[in-house]
Amino acid sequence: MNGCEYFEKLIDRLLEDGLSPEEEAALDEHVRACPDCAARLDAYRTIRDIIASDLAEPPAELAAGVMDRIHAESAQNVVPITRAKKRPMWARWAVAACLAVVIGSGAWMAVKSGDLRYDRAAAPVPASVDAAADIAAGGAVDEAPAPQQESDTAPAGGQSDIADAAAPEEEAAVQEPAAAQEAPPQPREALEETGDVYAGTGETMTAALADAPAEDASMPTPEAPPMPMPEQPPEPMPETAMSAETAEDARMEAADGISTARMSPASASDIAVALAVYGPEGEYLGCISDTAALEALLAEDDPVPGNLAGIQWDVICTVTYGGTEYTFAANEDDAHLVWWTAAEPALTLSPGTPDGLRGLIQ
Amino acid sequence: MTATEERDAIRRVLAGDGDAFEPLVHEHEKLVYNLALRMLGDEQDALDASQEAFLRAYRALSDFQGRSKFSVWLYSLTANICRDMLRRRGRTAARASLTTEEGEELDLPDDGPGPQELLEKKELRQAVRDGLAQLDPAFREALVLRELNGLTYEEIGQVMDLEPGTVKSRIFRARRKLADILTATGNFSDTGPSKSSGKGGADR
Repeated sequence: MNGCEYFEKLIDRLLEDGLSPEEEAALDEHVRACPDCAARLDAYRTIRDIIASDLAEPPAELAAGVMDRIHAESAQNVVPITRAKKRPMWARWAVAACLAVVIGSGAWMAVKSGDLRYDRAAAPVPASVDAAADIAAGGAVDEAPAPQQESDTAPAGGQSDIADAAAPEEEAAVQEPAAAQEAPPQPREALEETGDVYAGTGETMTAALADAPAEDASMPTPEAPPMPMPEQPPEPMPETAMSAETAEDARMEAADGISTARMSPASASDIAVALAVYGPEGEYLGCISDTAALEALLAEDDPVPGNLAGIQWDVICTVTYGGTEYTFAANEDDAHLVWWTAAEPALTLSPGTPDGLRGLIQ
Repeated sequence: MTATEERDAIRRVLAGDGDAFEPLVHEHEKLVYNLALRMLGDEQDALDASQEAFLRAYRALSDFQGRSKFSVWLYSLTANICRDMLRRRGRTAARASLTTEEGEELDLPDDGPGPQELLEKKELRQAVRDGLAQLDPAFREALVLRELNGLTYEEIGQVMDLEPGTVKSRIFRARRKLADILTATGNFSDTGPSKSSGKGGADR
């Protein structure tokens, strides 16, 4: 004699594949005697029928909105990437930020393309991190007044915030790297740029956060000199020590408007990777701020690479974590974050992927 | 729209005729929208997700190889967007059900045939919506793709990147959970053998 579990499966199959006459007869006999299974049969049918028939009419603006956008895009074509040279700056910024975090007491930082700001008031950060950030972004402040080419996208006050980064009161922080001095002189983990390739535009930015032994805590930057970060606890960075390329990078960054406004304190020991994601309007969407968060993220079964094909992706970076290389990317339109491993099929990035850094590893 | 008309429309869009995309939108918007609505449980989100899905489809139409149905490809894009939206919400359950801001149930039109005695019960329909919203998103997605969009296990597997066997299992578990929810909320408490008689294949 079969139990209810057997008939439950029959009910499911009845809805899916159908039953043999014998099975139907057995189920019929059972449900007449078993109220539970009868109720289940009724429920399953109800579920099927209601889901299938309970259809809302799509709002008229659905199609209208789609076609309006299509017409608008057709009219203006795609936004070309005109600042390809600036892409590697993200990696160098990531290096600087990473080192700042590791050397200092820590902070997670976020960089948003189109808005270079350093705003201490927006979110307090440890002094040593400020110092490192100043080192990374300073110098160019005086040398390179920010052009206004991005002013339409940069938040109001962004340019004056750059000046704030080098304001005299900031120098006190630079002079007091107490937390940094307490930190190990060489980070256990080092951020390593592994190249610049940006598919779809002829370049892809790739930066890997690789576990590295303390003695190997260096920052190779194959295509550009490393940011002039001190090997020992940070000291104020004399402007004269900044290389011409670094100055140029900083100048581009000023023009690019990379924001460090969204900084908040965190313990360096908690941080392995931080990745901040912004929406198309520059709104902050979220951040992976520690190892556990990254592990949780990577443990999810999304994305499904096969489903992602054909979508325009803006690669943020690749991160080597736990021996596996992950590629992070964001879609420009809603800036959602996806990742996949190197073992999975690579996606084709569409030409004309709008520029815009949506995250930063550190 | 026949399959031939659909292929022609796609060809025209690829040739640069953006307006040719409009019939494709109208052809598929209902199921795309309702898929998003069931996955997200919020009308505005569903509208946003649907529009985004069509825009992505338009922009990436050249990548559509025709290996699957255009509709399945669209559902993939839609489901993907919805998953991301749910993730951004913190993987919370879909916002419960279709209600207006005033909390009144929307008067949704009935499409297609169904067990009339059940469809007449608005509260039961609402209970199914509420129950769906309580399901794990991955189970909800599988069940909705099956029951609403009418996809096969294989097609759902394409959308969700799952083996058909896993799809089947998820649908089974989703049905069971939803049935448990409906039973627990009293929607089938008075259902007995006599009431189920004559409704389905087992009784035929």
